[in-house]
Amino acid sequence: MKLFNDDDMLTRRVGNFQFSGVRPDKLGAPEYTLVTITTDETGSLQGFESELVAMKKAIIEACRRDPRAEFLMVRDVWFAEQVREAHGFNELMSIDPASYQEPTCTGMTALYDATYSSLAATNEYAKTLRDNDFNVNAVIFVITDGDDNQSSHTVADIRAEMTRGVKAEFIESVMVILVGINAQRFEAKLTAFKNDAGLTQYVDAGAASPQNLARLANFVSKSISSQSQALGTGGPSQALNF
Amino acid sequence: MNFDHYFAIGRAHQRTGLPCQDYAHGVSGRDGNSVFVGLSDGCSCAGGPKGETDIGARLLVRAFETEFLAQQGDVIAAVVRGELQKAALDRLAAFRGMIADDDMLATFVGIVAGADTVAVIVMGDGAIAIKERSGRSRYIRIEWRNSMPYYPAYAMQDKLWTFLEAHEQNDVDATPVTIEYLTVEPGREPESAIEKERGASQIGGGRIFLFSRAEIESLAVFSDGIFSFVKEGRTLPLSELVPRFVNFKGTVGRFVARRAMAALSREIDCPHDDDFSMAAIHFGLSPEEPAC
Repeated sequence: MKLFNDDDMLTRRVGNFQFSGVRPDKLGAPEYTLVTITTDETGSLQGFESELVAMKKAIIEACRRDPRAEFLMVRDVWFAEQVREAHGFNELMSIDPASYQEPTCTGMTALYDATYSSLAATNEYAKTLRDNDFNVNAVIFVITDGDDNQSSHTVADIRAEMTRGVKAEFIESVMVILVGINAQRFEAKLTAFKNDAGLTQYVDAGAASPQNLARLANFVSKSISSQSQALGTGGPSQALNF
Repeated sequence: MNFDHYFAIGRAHQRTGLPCQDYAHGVSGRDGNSVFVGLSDGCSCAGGPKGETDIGARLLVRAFETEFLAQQGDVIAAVVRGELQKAALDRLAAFRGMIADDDMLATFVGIVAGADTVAVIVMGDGAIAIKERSGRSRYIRIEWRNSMPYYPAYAMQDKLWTFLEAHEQNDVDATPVTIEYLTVEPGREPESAIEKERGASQIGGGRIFLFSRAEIESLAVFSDGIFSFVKEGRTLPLSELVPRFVNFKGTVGRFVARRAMAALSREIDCPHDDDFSMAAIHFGLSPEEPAC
Protein backbone atom coordinates (compact mmCIF):
# COMPACT_ATOMS: atom_id res chain seq x y z
CA MET A 1 0.00 0.00 0.00
CA LYS A 2 1.42 3.38 -0.99
CA LEU A 3 1.60 5.78 1.88
CA PHE A 4 2.03 8.95 -0.11
CA ASN A 5 1.44 10.41 -3.57
CA ASP A 6 4.50 9.77 -5.77
CA ASP A 7 3.83 12.94 -7.77
CA ASP A 8 4.52 15.03 -4.69
CA MET A 9 7.80 13.29 -3.85
CA LEU A 10 11.35 13.65 -5.05
CA THR A 11 13.82 10.79 -4.86
CA ARG A 12 17.58 11.21 -4.57
CA ARG A 13 20.58 8.96 -4.24
CA VAL A 14 23.32 9.63 -1.74
CA GLY A 15 26.16 7.19 -2.34
CA ASN A 16 24.67 3.71 -2.12
CA PHE A 17 21.49 4.92 -0.43
CA GLN A 18 18.27 6.37 -1.72
CA PHE A 19 15.83 8.60 0.06
CA SER A 20 12.65 10.46 -0.77
CA GLY A 21 10.99 13.65 0.43
CA VAL A 22 8.16 15.95 -0.47
CA ARG A 23 9.03 18.30 -3.31
CA PRO A 24 9.74 21.82 -2.03
CA ASP A 25 7.08 23.32 -4.30
CA LYS A 26 4.50 21.28 -2.38
CA LEU A 27 5.52 22.58 1.05
CA GLY A 28 3.81 25.53 2.71
CA ALA A 29 5.58 26.39 5.97
CA PRO A 30 8.53 28.80 6.14
CA GLU A 31 10.74 26.35 8.07
CA TYR A 32 10.99 22.71 9.04
CA THR A 33 12.67 20.39 11.53
CA LEU A 34 13.59 17.19 9.69
CA VAL A 35 13.06 14.17 11.94
CA THR A 36 14.38 10.70 11.12
CA ILE A 37 13.52 7.68 13.23
CA THR A 38 15.93 4.88 12.28
CA THR A 39 15.13 1.64 14.04
CA ASP A 40 16.89 -1.69 14.30
CA GLU A 41 14.99 -4.65 12.80
CA THR A 42 17.73 -7.23 13.21
CA GLY A 43 17.19 -10.83 14.25
CA SER A 44 17.93 -10.14 17.92
CA LEU A 45 14.76 -8.05 18.13
CA GLN A 46 12.46 -10.87 17.03
CA GLY A 47 9.45 -10.92 19.30
CA PHE A 48 9.47 -7.14 19.78
CA GLU A 49 8.01 -6.17 16.41
CA SER A 50 4.67 -4.94 17.73
CA GLU A 51 6.31 -2.98 20.55
CA LEU A 52 8.67 -1.25 18.11
CA VAL A 53 5.95 -0.16 15.73
CA ALA A 54 3.75 0.88 18.68
CA MET A 55 6.62 3.10 19.81
CA LYS A 56 6.82 4.76 16.38
CA LYS A 57 3.08 5.31 16.30
CA ALA A 58 3.21 6.86 19.75
CA ILE A 59 5.95 9.25 18.63
CA ILE A 60 3.90 10.41 15.65
CA GLU A 61 0.75 10.82 17.71
CA ALA A 62 2.57 12.80 20.40
CA CYS A 63 4.23 15.08 17.85
CA ARG A 64 0.87 15.78 16.19
CA ARG A 65 -0.23 17.42 19.46
CA ASP A 66 2.83 19.68 19.54
CA PRO A 67 2.18 23.42 18.93
CA ARG A 68 4.82 23.28 16.22
CA ALA A 69 3.45 20.18 14.53
CA GLU A 70 3.09 21.95 11.19
CA PHE A 71 6.82 22.64 11.13
CA LEU A 72 7.85 18.98 11.43
CA MET A 73 8.72 16.53 8.69
CA VAL A 74 9.33 12.87 9.51
CA ARG A 75 11.18 10.05 7.72
CA ASP A 76 10.76 6.46 8.92
CA VAL A 77 13.68 4.08 8.42
CA TRP A 78 14.42 0.48 9.46
CA PHE A 79 17.76 -1.28 9.25
CA ALA A 80 19.32 -4.69 9.54
CA GLU A 81 21.96 -5.59 6.93
CA GLN A 82 20.29 -3.14 4.59
CA VAL A 83 18.81 0.26 5.28
CA ARG A 84 15.10 0.42 4.36
CA GLU A 85 13.05 3.60 4.03
CA ALA A 86 9.45 2.92 5.10
CA HIS A 87 8.49 6.44 4.10
CA GLY A 88 10.46 9.54 3.12
CA PHE A 89 10.39 13.04 4.54
CA ASN A 90 6.75 14.01 4.85
CA GLU A 91 4.94 16.73 6.71
CA LEU A 92 3.95 15.29 10.06
CA MET A 93 0.29 16.15 9.68
CA SER A 94 0.07 14.13 6.47
CA ILE A 95 1.32 10.96 8.17
CA ASP A 96 -1.26 8.44 9.34
CA PRO A 97 0.36 6.40 12.12
CA ALA A 98 -2.24 3.66 11.60
CA SER A 99 -0.51 2.88 8.33
CA TYR A 100 2.76 1.94 10.07
CA GLN A 101 3.45 -1.78 9.74
CA GLU A 102 5.41 -4.19 11.88
CA PRO A 103 8.91 -4.99 10.66
CA THR A 104 10.26 -8.45 10.02
CA CYS A 105 13.16 -8.70 12.42
CA THR A 106 16.00 -10.67 10.88
CA GLY A 107 19.63 -10.23 9.88
CA MET A 108 22.79 -8.49 11.03
CA THR A 109 23.39 -4.94 12.26
CA ALA A 110 24.58 -2.31 9.78
CA LEU A 111 24.48 0.38 12.47
CA TYR A 112 27.10 2.65 10.88
CA ASP A 113 25.44 2.47 7.46
CA ALA A 114 22.08 3.28 9.03
CA THR A 115 23.49 6.26 10.91
CA TYR A 116 25.49 7.52 7.96
CA SER A 117 22.66 7.18 5.45
CA SER A 118 20.20 8.91 7.79
CA LEU A 119 22.62 11.81 8.17
CA ALA A 120 23.46 11.99 4.48
CA ALA A 121 19.81 11.93 3.44
CA THR A 122 19.02 14.62 5.97
CA ASN A 123 21.85 16.83 4.74
CA GLU A 124 20.90 16.34 1.11
CA TYR A 125 17.22 17.07 1.66
CA ALA A 126 18.05 20.03 3.89
CA LYS A 127 20.15 21.51 1.10
CA THR A 128 17.27 21.10 -1.34
CA LEU A 129 14.94 22.89 1.06
CA ARG A 130 17.46 25.59 1.83
CA ASP A 131 17.94 26.27 -1.88
CA ASN A 132 14.20 26.93 -1.91
CA ASP A 133 14.36 29.41 0.99
CA PHE A 134 13.27 27.08 3.77
CA ASN A 135 15.05 27.35 7.11
CA VAL A 136 15.95 23.87 8.35
CA ASN A 137 17.32 21.96 11.31
CA ALA A 138 17.22 18.26 12.08
CA VAL A 139 17.12 15.56 14.72
CA ILE A 140 17.86 11.89 14.00
CA PHE A 141 17.16 9.00 16.35
CA VAL A 142 19.06 5.77 15.76
CA ILE A 143 17.55 3.01 17.89
CA THR A 144 19.53 -0.22 18.18
CA ASP A 145 20.00 -3.24 20.36
CA GLY A 146 23.55 -4.00 19.28
CA ASP A 147 26.88 -2.90 17.97
CA ASP A 148 27.77 -2.67 14.30
CA ASN A 149 28.83 -5.84 12.54
CA GLN A 150 27.91 -5.30 8.90
CA SER A 151 28.54 -1.77 7.61
CA SER A 152 30.55 -0.43 4.69
CA HIS A 153 30.68 3.09 6.11
CA THR A 154 32.99 3.98 8.97
CA VAL A 155 32.80 6.02 12.12
CA ALA A 156 35.01 8.63 10.41
CA ASP A 157 32.45 8.91 7.58
CA ILE A 158 29.74 9.59 10.13
CA ARG A 159 31.82 12.14 11.99
CA ALA A 160 32.43 14.09 8.77
CA GLU A 161 28.75 13.95 7.78
CA MET A 162 27.70 15.25 11.23
CA THR A 163 29.20 18.66 10.54
CA ARG A 164 29.09 18.89 6.74
CA GLY A 165 25.69 20.51 6.47
CA VAL A 166 26.19 22.97 9.31
CA LYS A 167 29.60 24.04 7.99
CA ALA A 168 28.10 24.58 4.53
CA GLU A 169 25.30 26.55 6.20
CA PHE A 170 22.43 24.74 4.57
CA ILE A 171 21.22 23.30 7.84
CA GLU A 172 21.12 25.26 11.08
CA SER A 173 21.91 22.33 13.40
CA VAL A 174 21.78 18.54 13.47
CA MET A 175 21.27 16.37 16.53
CA VAL A 176 21.86 12.61 16.37
CA ILE A 177 20.63 10.69 19.37
CA LEU A 178 21.76 7.07 19.62
CA VAL A 179 19.39 4.94 21.66
CA GLY A 180 20.13 1.52 23.03
CA ILE A 181 17.30 -0.89 23.78
CA ASN A 182 18.05 -4.35 25.23
CA ALA A 183 21.62 -3.09 24.78
CA GLN A 184 23.13 -3.03 28.26
CA ARG A 185 25.96 -5.38 27.25
CA PHE A 186 26.90 -3.03 24.42
CA GLU A 187 26.80 0.14 26.46
CA ALA A 188 30.56 0.70 26.39
CA LYS A 189 30.78 0.16 22.61
CA LEU A 190 27.76 2.30 21.85
CA THR A 191 29.06 5.06 24.10
CA ALA A 192 32.41 4.86 22.29
CA PHE A 193 30.60 5.01 18.93
CA LYS A 194 28.69 8.09 20.06
CA ASN A 195 31.92 9.80 21.17
CA ASP A 196 34.05 8.79 18.20
CA ALA A 197 31.41 9.75 15.64
CA GLY A 198 30.61 13.04 17.35
CA LEU A 199 26.97 12.13 17.89
CA THR A 200 24.93 14.33 20.20
CA GLN A 201 23.81 11.89 22.85
CA TYR A 202 23.64 8.22 23.82
CA VAL A 203 20.59 7.07 25.75
CA ASP A 204 20.23 3.64 27.32
CA ALA A 205 16.50 3.00 27.18
CA GLY A 206 16.75 -0.31 29.01
CA ALA A 207 14.76 -3.38 28.07
CA ALA A 208 12.42 -3.37 25.08
CA SER A 209 9.34 -3.58 27.27
CA PRO A 210 6.12 -1.77 26.41
CA GLN A 211 6.65 0.54 29.38
CA ASN A 212 10.22 1.45 28.44
CA LEU A 213 9.33 1.92 24.80
CA ALA A 214 6.43 4.18 25.78
CA ARG A 215 8.87 6.15 27.92
CA LEU A 216 11.24 6.26 24.95
CA ALA A 217 8.46 7.53 22.67
CA ASN A 218 7.80 10.31 25.17
CA PHE A 219 11.51 11.21 25.27
CA VAL A 220 11.77 11.20 21.48
CA SER A 221 8.72 13.42 20.98
CA LYS A 222 9.95 15.89 23.63
CA SER A 223 13.40 15.99 22.01
CA ILE A 224 11.76 16.67 18.64
CA SER A 225 9.70 19.48 20.15
CA SER A 226 12.77 20.99 21.77
CA GLN A 227 14.80 20.92 18.56
CA SER A 228 11.88 22.42 16.64
CA GLN A 229 11.66 25.29 19.11
CA ALA A 230 15.39 25.89 18.65
CA LEU A 231 14.96 26.49 14.91
CA GLY A 232 15.93 30.06 14.14
CA THR A 233 18.18 30.44 17.17
CA GLY A 234 21.33 29.49 15.29
CA GLY A 235 22.08 26.33 17.23
CA PRO A 236 20.66 23.04 18.48
CA SER A 237 18.45 22.58 21.48
CA GLN A 238 19.79 21.24 24.75
CA ALA A 239 19.84 17.45 24.90
CA LEU A 240 17.12 16.23 27.24
CA ASN A 241 17.53 13.71 30.04
CA PHE A 242 15.90 10.36 29.43
CA MET B 1 -2.79 32.83 -8.00
CA ASN B 2 -1.12 32.68 -4.58
CA PHE B 3 -0.67 35.32 -1.96
CA ASP B 4 1.19 35.78 1.29
CA HIS B 5 2.61 38.41 3.59
CA TYR B 6 5.37 39.11 6.10
CA PHE B 7 6.07 41.64 8.83
CA ALA B 8 8.86 42.06 11.36
CA ILE B 9 10.00 44.45 14.04
CA GLY B 10 12.76 46.91 13.18
CA ARG B 11 15.93 47.58 15.12
CA ALA B 12 14.70 50.90 16.51
CA HIS B 13 11.64 49.40 18.18
CA GLN B 14 13.61 46.40 19.40
CA ARG B 15 16.02 48.76 21.14
CA THR B 16 13.27 50.84 22.74
CA GLY B 17 11.00 47.99 23.78
CA LEU B 18 8.15 48.97 21.49
CA PRO B 19 6.17 46.34 19.59
CA CYS B 20 6.19 45.93 15.84
CA GLN B 21 3.78 48.53 14.51
CA ASP B 22 3.65 47.06 11.02
CA TYR B 23 1.08 44.43 10.13
CA ALA B 24 0.19 42.54 6.97
CA HIS B 25 -2.42 39.98 6.03
CA GLY B 26 -4.39 38.65 3.08
CA VAL B 27 -7.48 36.70 2.13
CA SER B 28 -8.95 35.01 -0.88
CA GLY B 29 -12.26 36.36 -2.19
CA ARG B 30 -15.45 34.33 -1.93
CA ASP B 31 -15.67 34.11 -5.72
CA GLY B 32 -12.43 32.09 -5.83
CA ASN B 33 -10.89 34.47 -8.36
CA SER B 34 -10.13 37.59 -6.34
CA VAL B 35 -7.61 38.31 -3.62
CA PHE B 36 -6.93 41.01 -1.07
CA VAL B 37 -3.59 41.58 0.62
CA GLY B 38 -2.78 44.62 2.69
CA LEU B 39 -0.35 46.11 5.14
CA SER B 40 -0.37 48.92 7.60
CA ASP B 41 2.34 50.89 9.38
CA GLY B 42 1.37 52.47 12.69
CA CYS B 43 2.67 55.94 13.51
CA SER B 44 5.69 55.71 15.81
CA CYS B 45 5.01 59.08 17.45
CA ALA B 46 1.26 58.90 18.06
CA GLY B 47 0.35 58.62 21.72
CA GLY B 48 3.93 58.95 22.91
CA PRO B 49 5.66 56.00 24.61
CA LYS B 50 2.29 54.50 25.55
CA GLY B 51 0.96 54.62 22.03
CA GLU B 52 -0.54 51.44 20.61
CA THR B 53 -0.68 52.03 16.89
CA ASP B 54 0.21 48.37 16.46
CA ILE B 55 -3.42 47.72 17.36
CA GLY B 56 -4.65 50.39 14.94
CA ALA B 57 -2.53 48.93 12.15
CA ARG B 58 -4.05 45.49 12.65
CA LEU B 59 -7.58 46.84 12.85
CA LEU B 60 -7.12 48.86 9.66
CA VAL B 61 -5.93 45.88 7.60
CA ARG B 62 -8.68 43.65 9.01
CA ALA B 63 -11.28 46.35 8.35
CA PHE B 64 -10.28 46.43 4.69
CA GLU B 65 -10.24 42.66 4.58
CA THR B 66 -13.71 42.40 6.08
CA GLU B 67 -15.15 44.90 3.63
CA PHE B 68 -13.40 43.19 0.71
CA LEU B 69 -15.08 39.92 1.65
CA ALA B 70 -18.42 41.68 2.00
CA GLN B 71 -18.27 43.23 -1.46
CA GLN B 72 -20.90 42.13 -3.93
CA GLY B 73 -20.18 42.65 -7.62
CA ASP B 74 -17.18 44.37 -9.15
CA VAL B 75 -14.70 44.92 -6.33
CA ILE B 76 -12.32 46.90 -8.54
CA ALA B 77 -15.08 49.34 -9.40
CA ALA B 78 -15.75 49.69 -5.68
CA VAL B 79 -12.08 50.55 -5.15
CA VAL B 80 -12.03 53.09 -7.97
CA ARG B 81 -15.18 54.75 -6.59
CA GLY B 82 -13.66 54.78 -3.11
CA GLU B 83 -16.51 52.71 -1.72
CA LEU B 84 -14.31 49.92 -0.33
CA GLN B 85 -12.06 52.45 1.37
CA LYS B 86 -14.97 54.34 2.91
CA ALA B 87 -16.56 51.13 4.16
CA ALA B 88 -13.26 50.05 5.71
CA LEU B 89 -12.80 53.37 7.50
CA ASP B 90 -16.40 53.28 8.73
CA ARG B 91 -15.67 49.83 10.16
CA LEU B 92 -12.50 51.14 11.80
CA ALA B 93 -14.45 54.07 13.25
CA ALA B 94 -16.62 51.60 15.16
CA PHE B 95 -13.64 50.99 17.43
CA ARG B 96 -13.43 54.61 18.57
CA GLY B 97 -13.70 54.61 22.32
CA MET B 98 -12.20 51.12 22.56
CA ILE B 99 -8.82 52.38 21.46
CA ALA B 100 -7.49 55.94 21.51
CA ASP B 101 -7.91 57.97 18.35
CA ASP B 102 -4.14 58.37 18.15
CA ASP B 103 -3.75 54.60 18.07
CA MET B 104 -5.62 54.49 14.78
CA LEU B 105 -3.03 56.61 13.02
CA ALA B 106 -1.52 54.14 10.56
CA THR B 107 -0.85 54.01 6.85
CA PHE B 108 -2.45 51.50 4.52
CA VAL B 109 -1.15 49.93 1.32
CA GLY B 110 -3.17 47.14 -0.23
CA ILE B 111 -3.66 45.11 -3.38
CA VAL B 112 -7.08 44.08 -4.61
CA ALA B 113 -6.93 41.58 -7.47
CA GLY B 114 -10.09 41.22 -9.55
CA ALA B 115 -10.80 39.04 -12.54
CA ASP B 116 -8.99 41.28 -15.04
CA THR B 117 -7.65 44.26 -13.13
CA VAL B 118 -5.44 44.65 -10.11
CA ALA B 119 -5.73 47.77 -7.97
CA VAL B 120 -3.16 49.04 -5.49
CA ILE B 121 -4.47 51.45 -2.86
CA VAL B 122 -1.93 53.72 -1.15
CA MET B 123 -3.01 55.72 1.88
CA GLY B 124 0.28 57.01 3.24
CA ASP B 125 3.70 55.91 2.08
CA GLY B 126 5.46 52.78 0.91
CA ALA B 127 6.55 51.04 -2.25
CA ILE B 128 5.10 48.90 -5.00
CA ALA B 129 6.99 46.30 -7.05
CA ILE B 130 5.52 45.01 -10.28
CA LYS B 131 7.10 42.08 -12.10
CA GLU B 132 5.67 41.87 -15.58
CA ARG B 133 5.40 38.74 -17.70
CA SER B 134 7.46 40.58 -20.31
CA GLY B 135 10.46 40.46 -17.97
CA ARG B 136 10.26 44.13 -17.08
CA SER B 137 10.15 45.19 -13.43
CA ARG B 138 8.73 48.46 -12.16
CA TYR B 139 9.15 49.98 -8.72
CA ILE B 140 7.06 52.83 -7.40
CA ARG B 141 8.16 54.73 -4.30
CA ILE B 142 5.65 56.95 -2.51
CA GLU B 143 6.96 59.31 0.15
CA TRP B 144 5.66 62.33 2.01
CA ARG B 145 7.75 65.32 2.89
CA ASN B 146 9.57 64.87 6.22
CA SER B 147 8.30 61.28 6.26
CA MET B 148 5.00 62.46 7.69
CA PRO B 149 2.33 60.70 5.70
CA TYR B 150 -1.38 61.35 5.66
CA TYR B 151 -3.11 58.68 7.73
CA PRO B 152 -6.55 57.53 6.59
CA ALA B 153 -7.87 57.77 10.16
CA TYR B 154 -7.58 61.55 9.93
CA ALA B 155 -10.71 61.38 7.83
CA MET B 156 -12.80 60.21 10.78
CA GLN B 157 -11.18 62.30 13.44
CA ASP B 158 -10.75 65.96 14.07
CA LYS B 159 -7.04 65.40 13.69
CA LEU B 160 -6.43 66.98 10.35
CA TRP B 161 -5.18 70.13 12.06
CA THR B 162 -2.31 68.15 13.65
CA PHE B 163 -1.27 66.87 10.28
CA LEU B 164 -1.38 70.32 8.77
CA GLU B 165 0.48 71.81 11.71
CA ALA B 166 3.20 69.18 11.41
CA HIS B 167 3.60 70.02 7.77
CA GLU B 168 3.40 73.76 8.50
CA GLN B 169 0.66 74.09 5.95
CA ASN B 170 -2.83 75.48 5.97
CA ASP B 171 -4.05 73.15 3.32
CA VAL B 172 -3.44 69.43 2.99
CA ASP B 173 -3.59 69.90 -0.74
CA ALA B 174 -0.33 71.81 -0.52
CA THR B 175 1.64 69.07 1.21
CA PRO B 176 3.74 67.32 -1.36
CA VAL B 177 3.85 63.61 -2.04
CA THR B 178 6.79 62.42 -4.09
CA ILE B 179 6.26 59.45 -6.35
CA GLU B 180 9.30 57.93 -7.99
CA TYR B 181 8.90 55.45 -10.83
CA LEU B 182 11.75 53.13 -11.69
CA THR B 183 11.65 50.77 -14.65
CA VAL B 184 14.17 47.95 -14.93
CA GLU B 185 14.38 45.93 -18.10
CA PRO B 186 16.99 43.23 -18.89
CA GLY B 187 19.66 44.57 -21.18
CA ARG B 188 18.64 48.21 -20.73
CA GLU B 189 19.64 50.98 -18.37
CA PRO B 190 17.08 51.55 -15.59
CA GLU B 191 14.78 54.51 -16.18
CA SER B 192 13.65 56.77 -13.39
CA ALA B 193 10.93 59.42 -13.31
CA ILE B 194 9.84 61.54 -10.35
CA GLU B 195 6.47 63.16 -9.92
CA LYS B 196 5.27 65.49 -7.24
CA GLU B 197 1.63 65.21 -6.36
CA ARG B 198 -0.56 67.22 -4.09
CA GLY B 199 -1.50 65.64 -0.80
CA ALA B 200 -5.12 65.75 -1.82
CA SER B 201 -4.44 62.83 -4.14
CA GLN B 202 -4.69 60.56 -1.11
CA ILE B 203 -7.64 62.11 0.67
CA GLY B 204 -10.78 60.00 0.36
CA GLY B 205 -10.00 56.79 -1.45
CA GLY B 206 -6.23 57.07 -1.43
CA ARG B 207 -3.90 57.04 -4.40
CA ILE B 208 -4.94 54.20 -6.70
CA PHE B 209 -2.76 52.43 -9.24
CA LEU B 210 -4.40 50.06 -11.75
CA PHE B 211 -2.73 47.20 -13.60
CA SER B 212 -3.82 44.57 -16.09
CA ARG B 213 -3.76 41.18 -14.37
CA ALA B 214 -2.85 39.37 -17.58
CA GLU B 215 0.40 41.35 -17.88
CA ILE B 216 1.68 40.77 -14.35
CA GLU B 217 3.56 37.82 -12.92
CA SER B 218 3.69 39.20 -9.37
CA LEU B 219 2.86 42.35 -7.49
CA ALA B 220 4.24 43.25 -4.07
CA VAL B 221 3.69 46.17 -1.71
CA PHE B 222 5.97 47.35 1.08
CA SER B 223 5.73 49.67 4.03
CA ASP B 224 8.28 52.45 4.33
CA GLY B 225 10.41 50.00 6.28
CA ILE B 226 11.84 49.14 2.86
CA PHE B 227 13.49 52.59 2.94
CA SER B 228 15.23 51.94 6.27
CA PHE B 229 18.04 49.60 5.29
CA VAL B 230 21.17 51.66 5.92
CA LYS B 231 24.60 50.17 5.40
CA GLU B 232 27.72 52.16 6.21
CA GLY B 233 25.79 55.40 6.05
CA ARG B 234 24.19 54.58 2.69
CA THR B 235 20.47 53.89 2.39
CA LEU B 236 20.09 50.84 0.17
CA PRO B 237 18.01 51.75 -2.90
CA LEU B 238 14.85 49.94 -4.00
CA SER B 239 16.57 48.66 -7.13
CA GLU B 240 19.05 46.81 -4.92
CA LEU B 241 16.62 45.58 -2.26
CA VAL B 242 13.33 44.76 -3.91
CA PRO B 243 14.61 42.01 -6.25
CA ARG B 244 15.78 40.12 -3.14
CA PHE B 245 12.27 40.16 -1.73
CA VAL B 246 10.38 39.23 -4.88
CA ASN B 247 12.67 36.53 -6.23
CA PHE B 248 10.26 33.87 -4.97
CA LYS B 249 11.46 30.26 -4.90
CA GLY B 250 8.10 28.61 -5.27
CA THR B 251 4.73 30.17 -4.59
CA VAL B 252 3.05 27.76 -2.19
CA GLY B 253 2.07 28.54 1.39
CA ARG B 254 4.24 31.10 3.18
CA PHE B 255 6.31 31.88 0.08
CA VAL B 256 6.59 35.61 0.84
CA ALA B 257 7.65 34.95 4.44
CA ARG B 258 10.22 32.38 3.30
CA ARG B 259 11.75 34.73 0.75
CA ALA B 260 11.73 37.68 3.13
CA MET B 261 13.41 35.72 5.91
CA ALA B 262 15.98 34.27 3.52
CA ALA B 263 16.72 37.72 2.11
CA LEU B 264 16.99 39.31 5.55
CA SER B 265 19.09 36.58 7.15
CA ARG B 266 21.33 35.53 4.29
CA GLU B 267 21.45 38.09 1.50
CA ILE B 268 20.98 41.65 2.74
CA ASP B 269 23.94 42.48 4.84
CA CYS B 270 22.24 44.96 7.18
CA PRO B 271 19.12 45.06 9.35
CA HIS B 272 16.12 47.35 8.80
CA ASP B 273 15.89 50.14 11.31
CA ASP B 274 12.14 50.66 10.92
CA ASP B 275 9.47 47.96 11.20
CA PHE B 276 9.12 46.18 7.88
CA SER B 277 6.13 44.64 6.15
CA MET B 278 5.31 43.36 2.72
CA ALA B 279 2.47 41.56 1.00
CA ALA B 280 2.41 40.03 -2.45
CA ILE B 281 0.31 38.21 -4.98
CA HIS B 282 1.84 35.84 -7.49
CA PHE B 283 -0.42 35.44 -10.48
CA GLY B 284 1.02 32.15 -11.66
CA LEU B 285 3.02 31.12 -14.64
CA SER B 286 0.00 31.64 -16.86
CA PRO B 287 -2.67 34.35 -16.61
CA GLU B 288 -5.44 31.75 -16.36
CA GLU B 289 -4.29 30.19 -13.08
CA PRO B 290 -7.11 30.47 -10.50
CA ALA B 291 -6.75 31.87 -7.03
CA CYS B 292 -5.60 29.56 -4.24
